[in-house]
Amino acid sequence: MKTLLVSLIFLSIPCPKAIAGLDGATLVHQWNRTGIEVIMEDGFAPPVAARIHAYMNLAGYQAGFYADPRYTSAVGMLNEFDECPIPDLTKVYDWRVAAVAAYQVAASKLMYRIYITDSLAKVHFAELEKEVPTDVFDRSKLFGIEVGKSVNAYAKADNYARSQGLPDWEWPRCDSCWVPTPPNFAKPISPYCGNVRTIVMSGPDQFPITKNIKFSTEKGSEFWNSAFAVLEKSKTLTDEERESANFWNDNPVVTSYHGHFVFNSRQISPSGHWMNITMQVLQDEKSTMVESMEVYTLVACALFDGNTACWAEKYRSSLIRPVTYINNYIDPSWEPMLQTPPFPEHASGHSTITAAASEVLTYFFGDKPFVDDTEVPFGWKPQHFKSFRAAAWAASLSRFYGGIHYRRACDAGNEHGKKIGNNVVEKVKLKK
Amino acid sequence: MISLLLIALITILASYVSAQAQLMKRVLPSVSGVVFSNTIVESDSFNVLRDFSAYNGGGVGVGDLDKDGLLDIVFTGTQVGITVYRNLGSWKFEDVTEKSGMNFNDGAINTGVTIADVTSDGWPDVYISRRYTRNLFFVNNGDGTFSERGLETGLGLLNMSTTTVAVVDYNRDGNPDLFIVNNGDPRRHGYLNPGQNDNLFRNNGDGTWTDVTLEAGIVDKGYGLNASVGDVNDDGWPDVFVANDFEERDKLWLNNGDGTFTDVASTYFQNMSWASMGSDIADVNDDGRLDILTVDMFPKSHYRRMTQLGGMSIYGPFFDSLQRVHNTVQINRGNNYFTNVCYLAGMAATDWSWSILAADFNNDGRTDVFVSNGVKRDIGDQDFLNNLTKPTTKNTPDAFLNMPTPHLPNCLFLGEGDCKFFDVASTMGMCDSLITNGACYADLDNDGDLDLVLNNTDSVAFIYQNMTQENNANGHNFLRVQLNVRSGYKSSLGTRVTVFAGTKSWLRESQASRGFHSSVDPTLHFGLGDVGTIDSVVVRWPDGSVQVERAKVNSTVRIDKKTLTQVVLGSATRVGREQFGKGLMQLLPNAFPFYYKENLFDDFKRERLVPYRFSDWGPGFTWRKSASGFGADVVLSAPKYSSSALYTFSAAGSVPDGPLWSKAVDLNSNESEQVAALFVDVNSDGVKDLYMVAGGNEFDKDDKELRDKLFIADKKDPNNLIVADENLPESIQSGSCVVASDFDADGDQDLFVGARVVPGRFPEIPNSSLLRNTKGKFTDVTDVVAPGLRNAGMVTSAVWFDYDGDGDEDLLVAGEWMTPRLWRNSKGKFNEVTHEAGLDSLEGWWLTMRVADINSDGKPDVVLGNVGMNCRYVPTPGKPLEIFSADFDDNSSLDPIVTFYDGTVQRPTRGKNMVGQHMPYLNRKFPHYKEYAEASIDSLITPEQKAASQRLLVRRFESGILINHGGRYTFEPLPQIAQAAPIYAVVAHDVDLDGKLDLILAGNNRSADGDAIALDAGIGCVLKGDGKGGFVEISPAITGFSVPQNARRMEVLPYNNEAELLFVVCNNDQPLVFTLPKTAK
Repeated sequence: MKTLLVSLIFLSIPCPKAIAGLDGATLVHQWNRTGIEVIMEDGFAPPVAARIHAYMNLAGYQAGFYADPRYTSAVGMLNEFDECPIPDLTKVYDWRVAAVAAYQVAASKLMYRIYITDSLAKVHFAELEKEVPTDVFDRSKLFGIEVGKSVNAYAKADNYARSQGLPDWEWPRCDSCWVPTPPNFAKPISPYCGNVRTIVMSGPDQFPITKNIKFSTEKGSEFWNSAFAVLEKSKTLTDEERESANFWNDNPVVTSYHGHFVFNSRQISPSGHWMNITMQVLQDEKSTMVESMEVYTLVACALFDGNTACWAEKYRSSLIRPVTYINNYIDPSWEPMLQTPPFPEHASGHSTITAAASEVLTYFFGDKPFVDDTEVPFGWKPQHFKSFRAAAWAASLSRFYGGIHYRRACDAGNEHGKKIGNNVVEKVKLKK
Repeated sequence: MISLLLIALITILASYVSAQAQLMKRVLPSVSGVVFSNTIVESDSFNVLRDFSAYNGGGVGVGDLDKDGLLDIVFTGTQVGITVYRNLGSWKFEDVTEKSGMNFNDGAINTGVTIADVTSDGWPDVYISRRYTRNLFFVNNGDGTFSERGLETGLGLLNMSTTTVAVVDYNRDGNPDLFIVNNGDPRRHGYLNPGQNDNLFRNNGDGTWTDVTLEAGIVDKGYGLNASVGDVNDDGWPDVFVANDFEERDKLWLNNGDGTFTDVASTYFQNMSWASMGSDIADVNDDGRLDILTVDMFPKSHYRRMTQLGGMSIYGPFFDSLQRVHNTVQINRGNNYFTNVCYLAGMAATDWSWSILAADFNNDGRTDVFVSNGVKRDIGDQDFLNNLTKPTTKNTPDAFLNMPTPHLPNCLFLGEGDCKFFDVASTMGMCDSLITNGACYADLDNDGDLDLVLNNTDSVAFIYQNMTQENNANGHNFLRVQLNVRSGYKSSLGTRVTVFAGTKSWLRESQASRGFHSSVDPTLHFGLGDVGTIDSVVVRWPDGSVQVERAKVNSTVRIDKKTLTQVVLGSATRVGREQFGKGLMQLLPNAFPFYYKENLFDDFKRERLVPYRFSDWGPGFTWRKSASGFGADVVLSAPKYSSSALYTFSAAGSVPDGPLWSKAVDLNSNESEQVAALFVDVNSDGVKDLYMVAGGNEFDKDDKELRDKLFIADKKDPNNLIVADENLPESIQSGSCVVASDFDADGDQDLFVGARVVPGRFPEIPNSSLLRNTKGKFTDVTDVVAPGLRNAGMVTSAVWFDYDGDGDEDLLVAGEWMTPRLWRNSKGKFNEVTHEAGLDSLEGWWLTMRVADINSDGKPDVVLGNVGMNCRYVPTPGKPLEIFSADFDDNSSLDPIVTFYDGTVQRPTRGKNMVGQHMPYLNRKFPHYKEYAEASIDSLITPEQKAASQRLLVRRFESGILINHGGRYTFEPLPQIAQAAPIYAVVAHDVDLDGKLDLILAGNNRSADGDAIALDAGIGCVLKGDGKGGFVEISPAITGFSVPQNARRMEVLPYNNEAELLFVVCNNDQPLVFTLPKTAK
């Protein structure tokens, strides 16, 4: 079963076959793609997914960047990331082995279905053992494990684990307040993720978020109009807009009802979608192992900070979702095209993290046109974008088309995300 | 002939030799010729993901279609049309589908079949319910053929889905009417759907029917699956019970007798099944009242519970506090209340069940229960549900193929009396694992025992021959009653027959629709056990006329309705049963018009794994004689955000039925939750002062709101209560009780204050305390004079009494997860004598205690209230429930894991969803439900964690009496009915004035964990004592005592010259006040 799963994963990764030995860049891509897969299977909420991507890639980078002398350690560049093991550079290492070990160790504490990542590590080690002398292999592996453990300790101190032991979030009751949304009225997810330590930002509130307009239930008020706009848009969607909404849906867990059994279908998370875009671009650019590690790590840090900062605001503002507002005050039978995810409205998380990631990618690759086929396995056609920022803008708007956000939440998220992404590329200079 | 006899002899010998216990023997298709099989062929467009009812299966009906004295069989199939078998005798059947004209295989989905003579021409007709296509009504032509008359008669309804049709002459005009149950998918994909109402069709008596649904007041747009008919409130009018799948509640349509119905399910039942599939109305405990049974899909095995139900939680989006995932065995208490004893009866969990049939299958005189089981695919499999699609694939139309396909054995529960049932299917010839949907019983060979016919999905139909008679009947006798009406009154359906023999009696009603989608023969079958002589057979015809007949055992009697019988409506039926009196006790509904409204607090949001809430222990109350000399003044404690108060007694009778108390003094306790109170004279001035215990779980463990309060009553004006907290030690505890005694014999009242829980830190042991009174000032002397008492446990109750007769008061302390612990007083010093008194190993969830001399031997006994035996997990002394607690995942919250013994292995009681949420790292250890389902405590935590964890256990849930044998105690459980619910309050009082102590018991817990939800079957009960320690229930219809609320505490208060008052305080309700006739002096 396990081997079957792993082979499935390999099949789904477009990678050149029959490389002599294991190419370092391929290895990095496979670890990232596997991370995306396991996160989907485990069904992690968007902020948790971003956190996993960030720490996994940090571990891989810290164990493997030595392969390219142009790069330096991230120690000191990330909040409270003050130490990380360094190798005995008088000895010979294979940095691919070290990276695999670090990825595996980090994954083992970040995700649940770790038999999948364990299998991947096993396959990689078996491959590398063939070409790497035993003493080098063992030394490298040991070093990678040490790095992985160090990153785990760093991750453990970020307040996430602690937040898991807190009571369920009691949502405030008021007219403008968020309440659980149809169809499944689920408990709000990840209510304390805004308290998790940011990785690059000085704190979740470093960049102020444009607030939503004054709440009102009065017909014709600005707020009412903004909800009405969501309703109106849902009736006049073009095929293109509809497709865009589906393409960027990225709801990790979509539920459907059969009688009263709730079936959950898995999709990629917003962060996973951008990690996958990153992978496509890196493969297209034929980036090397360490170059790839750098880009992945920075994108993941931007996603992580974006989620944390956005979640802090979501639960602070606790604003009502369009579906609730429209059902209460405009049209009781209205259903949005997409399923509203179970957390408060403002600002749009996807808009935030999308903008953050696109700023990082733009920093590395400029306004590069690209084709995104992330959604092909879910039945949606590949989409062409003329730049990362254009893609980010499309993703932002798609939330409005899908009927799950007011337009203002998309704008505010996009604006906020840009600042977060730029902050990452300014602060984290991994290349000497 | 000789060879036949020989064969019979050999058969008898063989069966005798093989197993005398083979109650049921399968008649193979090669013998019977019955080869019908409800084979369901799935496709991308027809499967459970496309059509939720795709696997609901078909029904089976029996009736003597050709009136040759042998019962014929009709099967309905999902995709295979209708099949009719003629019974040729000797277990041979002939397929007469073509001949009968019922070969209506038009590709439609058939659901239920009902066989009854609804045209009143003496020939049974056949009604077929269908989905998406109009229903079929086959009128019996009397010549072996049938004509489909759906359109002419108005009965050929086209509903989205009709499931079952019940025959009920609701207006008692002699013409059978039809109650049609529909399944309208009222919540498609989570959004509201208009649904489809059930229908009631009135028989016009001229071969046509009229839809009278709305004028009859029938509104039920649920996922209806079955209906059962019976006169449950014994007023002569037939009532209808509808089993609704999922969140729409079941309905109990009480016939108002004026052509309308009223749904009383929510008041007659304390709880019901969530996904009710089949139902039956019958007297399951043979007490002369009709009970109601339903089946749900709660699995028997731990593995299936954890894989099928891991997602069910109290917080589901459509959560309804009245509906639970379990079968129900609703025992009719005779006073418009039913008590669901499903767990007590052992019939709560039968897995994915469809049909339930109550009848006496072994003729031993006790009603048995058959349950059919199985589903084509495990729609509830959590691993499947949570990953309907692989992340990398789109939702494919054939995703249903990944669903597991379970085959499950059916259940045959033999009644053992006293509401106890044991499943013997596997040992008595019914061990086949199948998917059985519809089922019916019928005496196919007319030998005096009930055979079974099962309609199976994907397998040939099963016929089980009942071998009771063939096996020499085990000395059991039977009686069959055929009812025959004459002209003028056209149907015998609804006739009630009661057989009397000595002190025994059996009640049956003749109804067609029973179980699931199926119908039985109107002939009534009585198992009589070893009764050899029948005193009388009392027949109550549907028109109310009563006729008394005689009959011999082991015979089939045909009773013709006499024309000249006295017509008596309603109470005519209560021949040989206790008459309803005015009740020994009378409820005074307005006596105390003040509520205890519990504040909203959900303990489970902080402590997801606690087994029940700790925040609703109140109200506490205490009383003292009223200053006026009449009655008693009462202090009722209050929850957080409201205030405890003193209520003074007003002169009785000023306003008829008016309040007896008025609020006098507000105690300003809004910030605290006060859970217990005690009037006690602390300063020895002859006036009772007031001690209030703070408790609850809605605080942090060091919150000052958890401080107790002391009020000193002014000697001149006892209602002037002055705060004197400075006289209390500075202790912060979530308490439960306070009791007073002068333990050091210095002339003033000392106190014991019990502590129940450390808020937010269950199951840490809180600090109870012994407070010594020195001139009205209290000092905590617990550790000095009573070592070990401080951490006695999670205390709920304490009593001071002189157990050893040495003249000083000793202290007995009981609570949850602990054994009652006894501290012996020896000149003001205490030493624990729990072991010496024989009290160790009595760990329970003790809730209350009452000291009384139960067996009149002059030594004080103790009545102990426990959580009862009507629970999902019931511990035994050898297989306790055990809790392992520590912060296993190192995130500052405690992780109490409650385990039970699954065989010899301790496994967690809670499902993966809740455990995984509270301890996320376990999701890594057990990524799938199937892995978690196999987990034991040793795979949940490491040996080191186990060794370092706090452990507590509980060995028994029975309420009972500690009988004092002179310093040593033995535990005697109370009768079965007292185990149906938790007992929070006990009063020992001579209710019936016979000079012997009786017991009044009450309590309910509506705050159990997210899986069990509640232990709320209680309506209270009165047990009549024989003065020697024996007790039997007095029916609530006689006592007039019923408390379906969450009773917490109960005391007898003085009232007037004729009566005393029973004062019952309830959580989230008004205190109930009953009059009690005064003991003759």
